[in-house]
Amino acid sequence: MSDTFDVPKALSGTGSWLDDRFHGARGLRVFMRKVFPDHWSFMLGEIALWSFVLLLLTGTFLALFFVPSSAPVVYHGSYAKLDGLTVSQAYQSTLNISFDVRAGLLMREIHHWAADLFMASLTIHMLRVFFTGAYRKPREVNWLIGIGLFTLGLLEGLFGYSLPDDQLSGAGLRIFEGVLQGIPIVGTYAAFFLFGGPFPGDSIIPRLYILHVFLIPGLILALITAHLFIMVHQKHTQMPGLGKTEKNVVGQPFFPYFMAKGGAWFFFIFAALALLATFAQINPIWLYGPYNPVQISSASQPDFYMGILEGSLRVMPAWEWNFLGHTISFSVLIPAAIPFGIIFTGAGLWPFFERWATGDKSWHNINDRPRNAPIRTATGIAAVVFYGVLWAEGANDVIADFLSVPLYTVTWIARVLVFVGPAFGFYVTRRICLGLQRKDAELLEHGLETGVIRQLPNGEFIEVHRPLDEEERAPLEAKKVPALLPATGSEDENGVPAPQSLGALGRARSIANRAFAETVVVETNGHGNGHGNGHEPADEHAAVAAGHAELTSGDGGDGSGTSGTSATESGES
Amino acid sequence: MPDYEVTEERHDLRSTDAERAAFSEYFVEATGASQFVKRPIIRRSLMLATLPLAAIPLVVLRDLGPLPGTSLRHTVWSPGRRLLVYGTNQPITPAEFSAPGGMITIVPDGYQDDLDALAKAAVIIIKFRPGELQIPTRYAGSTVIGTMNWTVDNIVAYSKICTHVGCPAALYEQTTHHILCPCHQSTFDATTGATVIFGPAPRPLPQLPLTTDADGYLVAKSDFTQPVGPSFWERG
Repeated sequence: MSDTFDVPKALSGTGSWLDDRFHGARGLRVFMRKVFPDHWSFMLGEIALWSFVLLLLTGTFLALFFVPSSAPVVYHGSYAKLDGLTVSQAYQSTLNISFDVRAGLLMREIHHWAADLFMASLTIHMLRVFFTGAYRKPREVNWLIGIGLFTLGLLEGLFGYSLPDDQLSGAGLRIFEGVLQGIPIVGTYAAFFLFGGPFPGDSIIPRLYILHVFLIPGLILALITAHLFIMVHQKHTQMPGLGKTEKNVVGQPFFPYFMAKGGAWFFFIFAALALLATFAQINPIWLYGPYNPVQISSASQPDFYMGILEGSLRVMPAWEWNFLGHTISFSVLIPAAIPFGIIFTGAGLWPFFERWATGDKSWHNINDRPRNAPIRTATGIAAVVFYGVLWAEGANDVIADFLSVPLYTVTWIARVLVFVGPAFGFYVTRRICLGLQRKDAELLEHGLETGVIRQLPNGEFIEVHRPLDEEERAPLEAKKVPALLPATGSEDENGVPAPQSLGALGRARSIANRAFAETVVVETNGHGNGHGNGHEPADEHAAVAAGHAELTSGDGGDGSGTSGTSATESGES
Repeated sequence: MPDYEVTEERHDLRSTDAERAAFSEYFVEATGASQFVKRPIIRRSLMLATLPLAAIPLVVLRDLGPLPGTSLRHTVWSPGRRLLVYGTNQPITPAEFSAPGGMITIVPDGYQDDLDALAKAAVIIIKFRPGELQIPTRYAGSTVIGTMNWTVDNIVAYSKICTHVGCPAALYEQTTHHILCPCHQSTFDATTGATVIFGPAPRPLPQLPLTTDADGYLVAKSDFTQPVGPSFWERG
């Protein structure tokens, strides 16, 4: 950056004026040079951030015209097909936004698409953080804030798409109310207090409105702010690579690189949403009609992020207890509480569980490659399959229709898959992870296959391998394996059992620890490679000796154990 | 912009022992100065005095809604109330609904535009061929909740509100006599008193007792004899 220029007076003058008052030069200079590590997956959270900015902007616009009221009015707007129909003011004003307010429909559609993108990018961002282990110390709190943001996003979306008081969203509210009623002891009261009496009443729209435009966005904004401040304070994680250590951050400075990149990213996302809003119609409430509790249409699906709840309700068989004059409806309670309960509670507890199982109390600023943490990756995939099955079951009628399969068959398949799928996903993912580790080990050991075939003096043909260069080796050598904790019943030299391995909890920890510590050995001396081609690698080395350096496994240089220290799985194929 | 990488050192997030010690020292000193530790009566009465704050929501949020009472157990159906065809709001005689296999959505006379009433009182009537209907006489405790005697001329009326979470069970398949709720696919057999044959609904759609009035129109013999719609804690 040697291209200097004379700073215009207006700029330097303003800068001086501000610095005289706020003393910002030093802090801003440090911030301008703040390093942002570069990896495509680090842009996922940013999609959520920019979507949220667009949600605030378009939402404010919509609030200028939307009337949050259930009061009946006769519609006489531009949409002739509904002319003369008695509808609620909420529905009427949404129609007006769509047909009579300049840019109103575009704003509505961007708002809706941005909400979907917000939840989608949040989901994928969380998967990225999970699969790379970026939630580990010192970032557990930011992980929990993320789960909070996801939960608030769900509610915000549900309340938002319920506001127009159309047939589809009304059906959604009806289901919401039915589920609320099903909560033991307080359910009926909760429903009556939220809806201001029996369903649907005329209180729910204004109440959802204030939650949707004020309370929940305020909480989301506060949590996003905390999330970003914590991230800046703790600095970013980085993917393993040459020159990257637990003690540094390698990347590009905020100004000008990341600022340009992040700014451009905002406009890309804005453009993508504007294009979607223009060409992919979403939530055409004028086709659904105003809400009436007597009506429903088939293929009623909520927005995608509520799909798992919908699917859970559909997959559940009838089950209800009546006792002592009370009713507990498991048909409602289990679908409403268990799937999200498993996913949210599981995600929230996972960092602490992993810490307990691995006994790893050190810092982690270098992310794991998913393959190097098979149990974590397999658990994540199991959760994804669990979620995916229930999510797809939420559209079982559409699937049945599309594939011409009986509806009940689809549900029965989902009922089986919701149990079998995660287990299968766990098993397969773990095997794939170990397989990829084996591939890494072979790469480190033998280098890349070059495709060059040489003939040995004895007539045998071999393929020449090119050793990896420093940059290629670095990510592979960054693999860390949790240290083994004392095994169950293990004793020290005095015959005293290790205290932390005793008791049921100790045994469980020991088992978990061994699962987490499972890895593939990297042979460090170039022998016993399992090529299975019948000759010693040493011959190959001698024959094609030029430049084929002896490869040794690197040492990560930290206390948490390195490649090959705790092998339970050999590199033999 | 030329692409180049820079490296920044990370600093320990943990404060140094000296900083931590200095913090503790000040914290202990300042807390001591506040007398909060030394004077338990003041401390406890202060903490006790904040407890009633927790009760504020109980009072100020009370008017969010009326208490449910027994309202979920009743609908607006009453003896002699006419069945109106949804959409046209006209009463109907058994003779006008003579084609077997049909299903009509019904709303109660006087409440055809009251969404709160309709959310519980919406009904479907189905016409059967003679001999197809086999509704058993069912009881919940000592209350009759389903019987052939409540039909008129092979016309049966069921609540349209699904017993799962309250969607309208709106789809009717003539050949199988199945009523399907499109929300979560609870399926009810209309010939046997809307018993559940698939899906998450825990019990049959309640049957509305039917009769005809002096003018020959279909009317309700009474309200439903059991709560309609989704389960709730007090339902029993």
